Amino acid sequence: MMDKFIKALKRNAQVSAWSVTEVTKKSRELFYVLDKLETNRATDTTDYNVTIYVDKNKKRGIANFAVYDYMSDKELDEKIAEKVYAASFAMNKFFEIPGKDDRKLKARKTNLKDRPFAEIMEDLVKAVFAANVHKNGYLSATEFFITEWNERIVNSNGVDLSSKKYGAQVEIIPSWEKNGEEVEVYHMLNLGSFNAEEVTAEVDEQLMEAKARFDAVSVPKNKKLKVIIQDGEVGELLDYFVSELSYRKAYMKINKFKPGDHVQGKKVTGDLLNIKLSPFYEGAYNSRAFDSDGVVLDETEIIKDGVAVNRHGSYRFGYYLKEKAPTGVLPVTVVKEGKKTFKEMQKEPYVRCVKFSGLQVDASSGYFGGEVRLGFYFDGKKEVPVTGFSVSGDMNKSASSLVFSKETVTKPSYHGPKYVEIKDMTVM
Amino acid sequence: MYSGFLRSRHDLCKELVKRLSPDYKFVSVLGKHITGQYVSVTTATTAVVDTPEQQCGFVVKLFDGKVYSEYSFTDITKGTLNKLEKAIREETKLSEALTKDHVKMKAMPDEPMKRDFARPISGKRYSIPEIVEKLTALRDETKAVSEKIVQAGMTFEMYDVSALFISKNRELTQEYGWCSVRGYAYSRDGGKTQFAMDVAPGNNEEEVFAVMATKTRPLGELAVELLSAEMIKPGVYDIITDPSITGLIAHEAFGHGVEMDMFVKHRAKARKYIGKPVASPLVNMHDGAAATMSCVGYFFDDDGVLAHDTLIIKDGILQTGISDAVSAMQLGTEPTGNGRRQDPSRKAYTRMTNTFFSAGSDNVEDMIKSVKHGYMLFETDNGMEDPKNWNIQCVAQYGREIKNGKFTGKIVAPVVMSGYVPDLLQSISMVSDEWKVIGSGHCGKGYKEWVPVSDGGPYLKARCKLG
Repeated sequence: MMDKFIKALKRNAQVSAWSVTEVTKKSRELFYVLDKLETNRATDTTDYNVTIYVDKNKKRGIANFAVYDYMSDKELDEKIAEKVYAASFAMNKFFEIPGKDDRKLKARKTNLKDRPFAEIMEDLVKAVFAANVHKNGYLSATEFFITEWNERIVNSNGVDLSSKKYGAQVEIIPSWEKNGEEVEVYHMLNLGSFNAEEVTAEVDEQLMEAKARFDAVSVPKNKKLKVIIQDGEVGELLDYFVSELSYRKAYMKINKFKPGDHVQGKKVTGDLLNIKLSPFYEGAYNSRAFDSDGVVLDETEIIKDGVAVNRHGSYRFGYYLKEKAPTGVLPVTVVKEGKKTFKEMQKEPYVRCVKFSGLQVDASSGYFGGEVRLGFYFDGKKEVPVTGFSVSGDMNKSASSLVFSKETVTKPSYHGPKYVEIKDMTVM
Repeated sequence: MYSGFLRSRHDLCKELVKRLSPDYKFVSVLGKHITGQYVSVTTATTAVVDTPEQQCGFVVKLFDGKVYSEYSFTDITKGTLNKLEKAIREETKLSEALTKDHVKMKAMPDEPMKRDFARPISGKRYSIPEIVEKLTALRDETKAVSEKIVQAGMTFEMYDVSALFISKNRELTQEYGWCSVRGYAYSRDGGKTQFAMDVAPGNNEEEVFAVMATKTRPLGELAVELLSAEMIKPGVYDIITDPSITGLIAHEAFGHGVEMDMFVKHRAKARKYIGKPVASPLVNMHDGAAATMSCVGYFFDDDGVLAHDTLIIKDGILQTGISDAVSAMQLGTEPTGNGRRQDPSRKAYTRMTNTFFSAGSDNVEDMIKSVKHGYMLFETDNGMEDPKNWNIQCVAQYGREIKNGKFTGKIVAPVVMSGYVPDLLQSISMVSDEWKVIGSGHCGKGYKEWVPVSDGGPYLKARCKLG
């Protein structure tokens, strides 16, 4: 089918350049209410997307649109002519599109391709519900997805890249109930490969977090305290630095940082930031070999010892900034671990935030924080679960004193310190 | 105009239902085709792309007496019908181990109905060059407000939704359209950057451009004013919410909590509060695709259930929730036309549509005068629900300080509202006679399943924790 679309694009002389992507997705899905099956689903879909570029007077117009199997040659010709017309009114400063790259592509290791999805699904269901053994704890809703994606991108500049990817996701709602009172937490398991014991352990850990939320008490309010943020939220917090080094923001002149800047300030009392962006990290679910423009991705260092060293981002905006080799959009943020152990972090009073409803990070003002649904408060003597509070801080003030843990964690788009401690955040 | 593609597949969908019906207790096919344009003009770039809402596909739903199964596919043709039928039967098969424990359900009601609904975008439809010209003019007006505006952008989006729903006894089709112009501006002074945005939605292209033309100057001025915004001193304050923030509260604080698939899963505290007070007696709240005109103005939902206008809270008392067909069946209630999918390749869940508080009788000026020290909060940024535990987090783009009944001129941004839902809703002490629904947003279920929604209502006076 791809050939049919490419032939149609080549028939139109006004199309200066083009790219076509094909994404085929096959999945098996199960939806449980409590521990009972409610809905069974299977999907087999294919989507095609075309981008055309129309050059006029040293400028480049762009139009992007979906095409379908059902379209006849005549319908395709009409659609392309309509979009050529549209593109001629969407003129931009000229930019080149990525070219051929023959390097061998890395593929994520997986055992999800070794057996039929139906078989794996049975084992996955068993592994999840194997943790459902608590008198007061239960899974109130569980959704299972096992998916195979085939992606291909072809462009008029010689790019022809394909990848096959497998993944399983399980959305669980662990809950805890006693004497008519109930609480829940939310968790998504993202699995590049399936290991039954690890799945059961992860579900059990989340059920224990539901129990902790049930047992949680109020935190002392309106206090300035050391706050520990953990897991994927560490990556979200550090996106404050990463996003401000994008080509796009620089081209739009709305960037906060540029290469050479001391992003944490010049007097750093905490750990110096070291951040690389990477296409792959073992266990990082969102790893990918190439981006949606067809750029084969390489690891790129963007912050070294607290100093911005490179920008990153899409090929187009990199081209505009005259970057020799635009990085493409890299999916995984890799951060160097710190020297302090979690145990050492726990020596003085703190609030550790385990479940945010959604960590807010506003690069404009420096604000970061949000409502915390489960945390742990240590008053200097013992740690107790706490809930129903918010934390807020100002990254402009905190950047220089961030302290990272020695322990690391891998999440879908992040690998790095599992914990970061931030002094003097407002807890209310 | 109704999709020619769906029209050409209509009889094939009927044939598929006919072939599968002898072996299943319920069979339906939903087909969806959304087409449209998204045109973007910024200070640095211009683009014409398909609407992000664009989708085309089908889903067949089957009930074998035990479990509901679905199969999503891209197309159905005469040449592939046999293969498709075989794939549906094989790919939805489940092992004995998986069907051992299932939710007890029955076949969906399938009362005879044959209807074709239509509400296309009204008035003049602009060509691409006309749209680019208009957006460029609006962008330039916004940029011209101040030299501190480093980027201004305008986007126009329009889409036509076509859908068909076919079961043994039902044959429904619908088409409706929506459009909007969004504007934004980035301002910069020294190292500080700020951002402001506004939207003009509707189902008439001329009108949405005319409305945005009145917003360009205030938008540019706000972006510049936000450069002086401070971070709010965390605390509990009197607040007045504009209709956007009122809508955010209706949606996040309570709307998600009355989605009845959450009742089925024991995930909603509201299940135990039907018939009980949950808010101040001044509060009345609705949801429904038929409740007002917006981006969610469908005539039937993705379960083939006709659109409703559901009164959720009446005088502070919780009346009922909203539901999709499968959840309603499990609860023994009537579905309310709230079964929605992100696209045909995804499952249907109970989803909000147009969610809003009703107007009251207070004057906005009087509401401001009544505040000793607090903030008026404007413009939704984002929010997160917690239906089981009734905690909320709602983020407003900015707030204006009020002291002794007057604005002090101090602006704060962003503002995060958090707390316990009943405390917030019980604290509502004034409700304005001014009322507006903002008809162009998006909502996820948990952290996925994005669908268009609208929300809004009057200005509210309440008390809340801000940070």
